[in-house]
Amino acid sequence: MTTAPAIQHGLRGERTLMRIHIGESDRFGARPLYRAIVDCLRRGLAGATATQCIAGFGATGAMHSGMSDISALDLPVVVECVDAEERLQAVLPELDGMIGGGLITLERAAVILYREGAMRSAGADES
Amino acid sequence: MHGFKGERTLMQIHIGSDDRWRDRPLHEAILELLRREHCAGATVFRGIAGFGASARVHQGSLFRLSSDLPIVVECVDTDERIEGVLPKLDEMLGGGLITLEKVRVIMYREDLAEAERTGNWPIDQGGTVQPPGLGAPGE
Repeated sequence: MTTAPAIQHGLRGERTLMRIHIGESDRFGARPLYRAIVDCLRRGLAGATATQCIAGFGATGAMHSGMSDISALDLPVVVECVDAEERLQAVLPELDGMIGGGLITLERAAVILYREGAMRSAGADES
Repeated sequence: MHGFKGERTLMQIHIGSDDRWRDRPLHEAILELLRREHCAGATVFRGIAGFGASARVHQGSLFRLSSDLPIVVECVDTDERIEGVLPKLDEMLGGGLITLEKVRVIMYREDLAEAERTGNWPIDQGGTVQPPGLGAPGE
């Protein structure tokens, strides 16, 4: 988040965790979809994390696994983002336009700490 | 195709990468089970370090070929379907941790052509969702 716009989120408290399940080889335009999603979320949301998984299956029922053949090139990727519910709702239409197939879930998250690295010395109450 | 939007359950199964079930990696066997039971989907994560009920720290190392790293298998489905597979999981898991939590499914689809993506939210929201909240904390 160091290069993101300096938005004061005041993120602590009851927030929402959004998780987006897609495939590593999914694309949006010329770019990997997960990168495009992270960039999309970076325009104003508190943060995002993309994680590559080692195996899985989804709506198509096809197994994706690093152990075998061609599906090793299309492992599951999960992009997570925690922010205020309204902020996430606002970005969903854009995500809808980007994602062909996948799963998006929302759940409640209690944010305990959210701060930049440099703020540590200022004390734990500064998030 | 599942009619899948609304309040669902996320199950997380924490095991180790060395755990086995009948001569194969346990996480593979669990994935197979979930597919056989027609769960909506499942994803396997590998952690880079962790500890569990045995309190032994599991961490990868350059110098060891095999290290028992944490594995998390996740699955989102209806509460009934998740409850239905739990007895089978109980049989397969020696040690580990299984948690359930409530999630709202906002989108679940196989592959929609770009021209058909309306961008008009809600995409295909239905079921019992009552935006914007997830219900009272601690319910």
